[in-house]
Amino acid sequence: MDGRVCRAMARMFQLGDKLSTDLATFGTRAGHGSVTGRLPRTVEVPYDRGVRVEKLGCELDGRQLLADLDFDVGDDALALLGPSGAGKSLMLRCILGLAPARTIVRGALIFADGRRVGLDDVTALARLRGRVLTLLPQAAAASLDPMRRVEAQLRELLRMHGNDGDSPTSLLRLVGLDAELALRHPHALSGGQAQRVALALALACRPAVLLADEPTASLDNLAQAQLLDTLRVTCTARAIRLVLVTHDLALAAGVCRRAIILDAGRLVEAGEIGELVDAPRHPVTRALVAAARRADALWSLGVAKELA
Amino acid sequence: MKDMSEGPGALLRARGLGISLGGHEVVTGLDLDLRPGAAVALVGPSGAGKSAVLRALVGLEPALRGSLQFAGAELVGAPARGWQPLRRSVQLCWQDAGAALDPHLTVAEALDEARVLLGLPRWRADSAELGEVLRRVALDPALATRLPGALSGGQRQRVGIARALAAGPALLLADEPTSALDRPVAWALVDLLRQLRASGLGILWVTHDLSLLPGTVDEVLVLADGEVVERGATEQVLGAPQHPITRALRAAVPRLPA
Repeated sequence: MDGRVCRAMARMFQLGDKLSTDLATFGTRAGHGSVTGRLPRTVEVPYDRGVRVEKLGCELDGRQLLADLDFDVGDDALALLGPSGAGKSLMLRCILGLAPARTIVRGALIFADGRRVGLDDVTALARLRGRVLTLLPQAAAASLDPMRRVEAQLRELLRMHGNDGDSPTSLLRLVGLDAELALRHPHALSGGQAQRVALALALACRPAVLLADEPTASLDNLAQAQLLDTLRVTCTARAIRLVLVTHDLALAAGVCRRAIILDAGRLVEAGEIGELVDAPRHPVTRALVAAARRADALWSLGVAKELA
Repeated sequence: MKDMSEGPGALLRARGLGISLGGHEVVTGLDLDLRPGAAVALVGPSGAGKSAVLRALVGLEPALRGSLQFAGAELVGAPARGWQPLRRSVQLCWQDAGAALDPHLTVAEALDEARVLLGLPRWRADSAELGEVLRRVALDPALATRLPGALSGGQRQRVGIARALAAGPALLLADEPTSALDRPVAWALVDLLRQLRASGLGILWVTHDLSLLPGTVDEVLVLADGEVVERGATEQVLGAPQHPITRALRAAVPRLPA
């Protein structure tokens, strides 16, 4: 599968500028076409966990949308923070080899075993997608196949990735869902349930690195807290390196130890979240800290007993 | 803080209001008072019935039970024209302002359309009143000729509020106006709602994010499965939550390490 095919599929399914699990996980809706038929059936070993992104740049019609992004996805979960329009989702698309049409992408991914994949090599990136790098999209409900039951969608990915260790039922339990949900169609799921099913689909691929693009943006605070908890626990248990895209510093602090901050396509600050909170240097980081601090007014009201 | 649910002067008053959708009563026994210059928050998890309440309060849910009075006139069971006084005085700002705005209308045209629909005098793109409303929501009047596609999410949300204000309402009902916004931009919108309340507008704010409420609203109602499970002054409900749902909502607010 090369980039042109991907983009043609994206247009065909009218995915707009957001990614779909299908494309990022070799998933279901593409299953009937010839595209997935060409995928290698042998399962590759994820290149020994972590990955380093080196000098990622993205250019459109001479405009530099992303420039000189250097960072490490190591053993700890990494938060990718920044205001709307900073280029967070675009960066994920570049890493997944799904950059928009007419963009020129530069840089490389360096894997833990020393393997190097150029970000302009969409064929090589397509081979990684779903196997080494998997996306958990923002709007999961829109990326599920509306015509097929949850179980069929999970089973297809398990087979495609030669994953004998998991079953649809075990994956649903892992993400905190009732196994009975396997028989439902996506329309019969709540937003929080659909997001969990998307996580189960991503886990079915057994990725080394999970790229989560604001996975809780459409959820209420209760469902958000539950999903983040599941994400943290399962990624730790399965040694999956997590990259969490968000614009909420407090949310990131609950899941990740390190963060990188993006503004206008540039990396403006990076470090441990605790240190960023204590001593933010860049104005964008300061605004994120200030916004998170304003919420503290809630905690200074009364002397409520915290829910354990 | 005085109890905001009692006393005269409520412009919109619900008593034992029930709302049915497709034969099921999704909200039962709602008591609510909205008055100019006061802000009330309606909080609760997804599916609690928050949006159904907002729709019912502007006459978009026909199957009502109990009592809903606007300026003393009963609306439950009233003919359609009975709702007319409410239409102008109570304006709704939708959750997804980007989708609620016509992509083919400029900001000025969108605001003008709202006035035409209510039979109010039209506003031209360069009229002083239009500029004043845009300034009130902290938008540059120069944006009046822009289409929604050329605005940021935060700007579109402000246009949604400006369109509601163009009708000259006494009450503003806002359905999760901050949920799609960055945290810094969300706080800017909270500041805007505070200013609007201070300038005499009454506000009903639907949200599930309790952290935005202290200092912004006077009263909090917690809705779960269509029923109000806890209500009271903001400091009391958020500072010492009693009901498990309120506690869970509070505990779910992401918090920076101390």
